[in-house]
Amino acid sequence: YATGHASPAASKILSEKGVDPATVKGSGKDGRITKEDAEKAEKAKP
Amino acid sequence: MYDLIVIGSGPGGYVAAIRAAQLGMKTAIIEKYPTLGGTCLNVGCIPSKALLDSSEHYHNAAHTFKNHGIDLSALKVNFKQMVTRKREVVHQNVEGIQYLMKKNKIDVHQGVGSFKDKTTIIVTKDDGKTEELKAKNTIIATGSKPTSLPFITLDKERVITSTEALELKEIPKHLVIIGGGVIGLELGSVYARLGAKVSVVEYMDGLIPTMDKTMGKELQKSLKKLGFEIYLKHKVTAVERKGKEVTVSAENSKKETVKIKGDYVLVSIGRKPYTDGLNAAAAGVKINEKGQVEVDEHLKTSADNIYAIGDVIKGAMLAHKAEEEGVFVAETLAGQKPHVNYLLIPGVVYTWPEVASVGYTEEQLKEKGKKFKTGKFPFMASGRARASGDVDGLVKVLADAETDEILGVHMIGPRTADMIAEAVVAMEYRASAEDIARMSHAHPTYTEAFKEACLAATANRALHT
Repeated sequence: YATGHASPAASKILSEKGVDPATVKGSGKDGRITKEDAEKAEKAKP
Repeated sequence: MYDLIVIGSGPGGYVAAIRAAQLGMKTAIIEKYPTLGGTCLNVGCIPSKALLDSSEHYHNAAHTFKNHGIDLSALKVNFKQMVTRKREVVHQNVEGIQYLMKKNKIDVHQGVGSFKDKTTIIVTKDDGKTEELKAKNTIIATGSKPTSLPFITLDKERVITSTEALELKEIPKHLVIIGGGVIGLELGSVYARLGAKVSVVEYMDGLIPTMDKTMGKELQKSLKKLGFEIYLKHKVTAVERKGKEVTVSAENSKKETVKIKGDYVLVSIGRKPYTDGLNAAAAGVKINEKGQVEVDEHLKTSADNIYAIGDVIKGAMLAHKAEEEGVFVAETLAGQKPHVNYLLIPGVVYTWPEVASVGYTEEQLKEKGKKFKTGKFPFMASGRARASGDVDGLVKVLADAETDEILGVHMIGPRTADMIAEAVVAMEYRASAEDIARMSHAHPTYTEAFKEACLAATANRALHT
């Protein structure tokens, strides 16, 4: 259940980038999306 | 022209102003009272905690010191000093806010702020002089006021609200409290510890009715030890004052009338949003039938450059809820996309034992039809609690029956107001009960009770019960 769950800071960064957390591979414990993951994440190309 | 004007300087208002200034906005704050800080600092959280701390010291000196091997003679309460110290604490906090405003270059305007139109606010000072301010954006943070019942005449002497209860000239002989919520029980605890007889009349079937039911039941046991007389399922029908005597009449579940005579009545049935004098209509800001300013998911009102936060909008009336919303709006105005997770805003009652809670209650989970497991650990089994003598209460963890994810944490016991922070972090990261159970907790500490309750929730494998 933790997979795809963004940390509070990561979640804010992702919404500002317009990135859907479901498309981000989390590197945190059990697949959690860390702040670093969110900073590196890029919007998927259509 | 300001980028942002904040009306109201409570925890929501002043924090919003600071965050906006940090983000580069030219910011002003309007406050009608002579001091900043709002309800929380002046007549709420801070003064009540000061009196709760002082009265708990006295209560310990009077009742538990002997057991600890400390003998005292001629112990007495200097109530005047207690109130004086409380005022000093308030003063220091208020000065602190003044300093923060200056440091962040926020203009402070003293007076009542009311809308002339969407971008113009008239500030009316105490001497009647007015000043017009212009703002691109405005945050309404006007807060709340104590609410009463239509048939009660508050005389502010013996029929009082929390505001006057923090400034009494004497310790009541018998304080009758209408409402078994947070404010009533905190102030009731203060005076019960100082020797007053305290009676609580509550309409619902339990104390602190918005929290998990186990908490209300446990708190009731503790308050009874303190001498509280508690009338549940009693509907107050009349309050009369004759000289120094006050009588509260209430109807019990059998429709019989019960009369409780005391020398002070505290009316603490709740708080209502406050928008008097704001002239919200002039700016096109809608106020609903509950008196709350209507807001959308961005906390924006029906006027597109005006936002509202804190007690004046929907949601829990908590200082830290208002603060979160203040930061949320300031960042939204700066083009950021913040988020407030309302489920994870903790609620705390500062009685002793303290009550603290976050997430879903057992009742809410049952209502949602969610399958969950319960883990409990009593402080009676905690070595730290036995050493300090604070053995009342327990930690209760609710976790998803299948995934083990923590869904709610409810604590009553020593220092739970601070302990709850661990549960907030845990839930923010969607920890499972087993996650917490496998993390090291310093020994001996009260927080071990949270770990043990998580062990109990995981697979009923607590180590110390």
